[in-house]
Amino acid sequence: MLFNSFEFAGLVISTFLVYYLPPVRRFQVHILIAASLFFYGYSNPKLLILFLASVLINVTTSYLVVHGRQARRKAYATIGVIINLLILSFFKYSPLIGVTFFPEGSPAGHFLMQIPLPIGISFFTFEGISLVVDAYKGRDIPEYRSLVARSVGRHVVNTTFFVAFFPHLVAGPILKAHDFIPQIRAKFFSDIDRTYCYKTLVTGFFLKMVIADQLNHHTFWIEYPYFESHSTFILLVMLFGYSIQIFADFAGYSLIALGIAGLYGYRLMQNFNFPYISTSFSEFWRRWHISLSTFLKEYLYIPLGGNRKGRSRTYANLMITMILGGLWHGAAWSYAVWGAFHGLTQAVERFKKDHFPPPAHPSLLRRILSGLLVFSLVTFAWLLFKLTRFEHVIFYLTALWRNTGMSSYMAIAVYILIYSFPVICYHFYYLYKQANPDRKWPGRLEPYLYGIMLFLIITNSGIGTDFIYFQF
Amino acid sequence: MLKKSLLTALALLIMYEIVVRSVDFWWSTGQNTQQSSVVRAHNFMFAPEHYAQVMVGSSIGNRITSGVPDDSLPDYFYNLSFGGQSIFDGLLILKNMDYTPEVVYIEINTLLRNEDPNLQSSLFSPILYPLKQKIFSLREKNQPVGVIARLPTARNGKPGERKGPPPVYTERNDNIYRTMLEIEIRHKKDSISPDILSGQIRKLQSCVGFLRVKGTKIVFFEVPVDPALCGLALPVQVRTAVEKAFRPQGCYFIPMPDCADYLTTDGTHLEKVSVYHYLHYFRRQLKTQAIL
Repeated sequence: MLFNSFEFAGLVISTFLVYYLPPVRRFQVHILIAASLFFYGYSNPKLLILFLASVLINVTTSYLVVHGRQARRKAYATIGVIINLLILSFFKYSPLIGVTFFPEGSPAGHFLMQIPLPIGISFFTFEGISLVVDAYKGRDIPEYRSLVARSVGRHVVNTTFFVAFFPHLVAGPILKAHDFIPQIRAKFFSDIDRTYCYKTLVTGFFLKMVIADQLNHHTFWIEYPYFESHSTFILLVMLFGYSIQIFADFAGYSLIALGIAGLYGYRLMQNFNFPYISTSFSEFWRRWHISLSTFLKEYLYIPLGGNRKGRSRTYANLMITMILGGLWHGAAWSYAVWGAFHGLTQAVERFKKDHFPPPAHPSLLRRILSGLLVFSLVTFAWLLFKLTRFEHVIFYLTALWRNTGMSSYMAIAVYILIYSFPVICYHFYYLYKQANPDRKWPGRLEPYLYGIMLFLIITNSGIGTDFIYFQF
Repeated sequence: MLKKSLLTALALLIMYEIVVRSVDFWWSTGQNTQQSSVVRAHNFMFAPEHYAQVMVGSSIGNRITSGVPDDSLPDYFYNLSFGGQSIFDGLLILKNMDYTPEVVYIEINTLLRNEDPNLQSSLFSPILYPLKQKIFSLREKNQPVGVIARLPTARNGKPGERKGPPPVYTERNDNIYRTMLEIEIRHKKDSISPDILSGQIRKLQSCVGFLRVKGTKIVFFEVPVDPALCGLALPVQVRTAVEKAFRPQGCYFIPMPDCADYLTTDGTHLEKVSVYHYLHYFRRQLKTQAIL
């Protein structure tokens, strides 16, 4: 069920209408759980079996970690994390293992390649890990102990709701137990922040339906062998367009998730913070898919030793974290290479910072050049996302080099530039507001800008496609 | 904030609807391949007139009318062939609309390709389809960005009204032609599992049966491709299976002409020069077989 489908709108509206009725207020969480399970099982009810099994494992292990026998808490937490990782590995990476390590046509390889990828598995298993680890880390801290209620029934409801809450279920933001579970309480219609919900929903739908869905049909030509027929100029413009598209698609999705959660009185963490203004790779990862990068930092990088064990270990930890983060995205080696690329850039950046500290206040020109460099390299790296077969990436780069004399089909460039323009403005508008917080005119213009965006959502949306991150 | 914003959107929508109803944005034909398919389908679905002859196909059949206005198919003929899509997309549109043309021409080059569920659901969405019938500004053809971006092309006049000599130049880029041809040869050199093919034939039979019951004549045709592809195992297998399944039912066939007489841009899509040539052949066949 797509966020931009009428079925989804029907689910959100019908749930909303029931949710705030005073007689059912004590069942608000139950209503949202029912809606979430309906949402998840809508296209394939069989998926619910795995999902509920995963929930059950997390309910049990997290409960035992906090309320079980003290001597076994670490073992329970370890079992919880391992089972989550096994579920994720089995369903997500079996096809990759099958294709890489088994000869073509072998029964074992064939079996592994047939294993389906349940939607949202990367997200709900990570949330399960967050619950178990938070419960273990904070087992003796009162606020953290409240994450795992004493009453088994209450704990089952809270955990199921935390993992299943439908706005974030299939593509995040990845919730952390300590951020979300404390928010679970009775909600009132009068407490809805209408302006926040409206702004996030309009911006999210605009980014997804008007920008990403339109760009999708132009960046489609990045696929092999179609790109072979385009000139170097168009190939570069298409890469730029894909960079804008993937941002608009995922940031749009995340904003819609935030807006819908807001309608039910919940605040999810901001997942994107204008990433393309970043002037370094570490800054980029503080602004891009924040819920994943903070998850990796809290639950992988820091446990590995972070930057506390010397420079070499810091660089190695950065590489390991980013390679695993890359592989989290998909079962193809190109994702690992993409992660390695980002790990390497951050390690190099850290090395440079350690040995040649940058000026405390870099000049504007330096910041612009750094921003352009980061954006260009990030954009080139997206090629590994779009073309998951290495040979196709090589063919694309070869075509970039070879097709210089070819005539360009300019319509693609024109549309990509038109649809990228609002995203560029979106980033510059943020920069302007940061630099001029006292200016009043942006605030006065906003209602009209949101009105124009709403008009364009109605009249100028692209043909709906899946969110790119649904495949992860 | 909310009130001002919603009123802005409403005012823009009303003003735009007035503009759309007053001006024919004929130059707006879709901003990309898939949207062009939707626009082409909408022009058919929302047309006041009834088309007696309908062609269904892929991008291969799509070229049969494009860019050769002098020799395009007649006005009572509608080409429901969509770039990147399959013949089933056009056939499903006819089925969903319960549309009964006198003759339906079915391209068989891409029989193995399946319909696009996204296209069908976007065309026949239970909410948007009736809304688009009433509110013109919701139709893809009238998308503001598409209308503005293609405005410069309006200076050349409507394509159908442009008279001119048949094209003599070729569009082919040799590098691309060779690359695409190699890929096509790789894909088509081996036949496919008979189960897959019979599945497609069964699906086609269901669509054809629906039309034949209503008295529609069915004409199958295969657009010529590069000579290197014509006789490969896969196209031969498809051609034979379609003839075997549908000739006994009284369906017509326009045989594929000698591929050596035609040029393609990439192995499968005809050059404009050859589109012109093929149109002549196509019309001759219609006359010879007394289909029209």
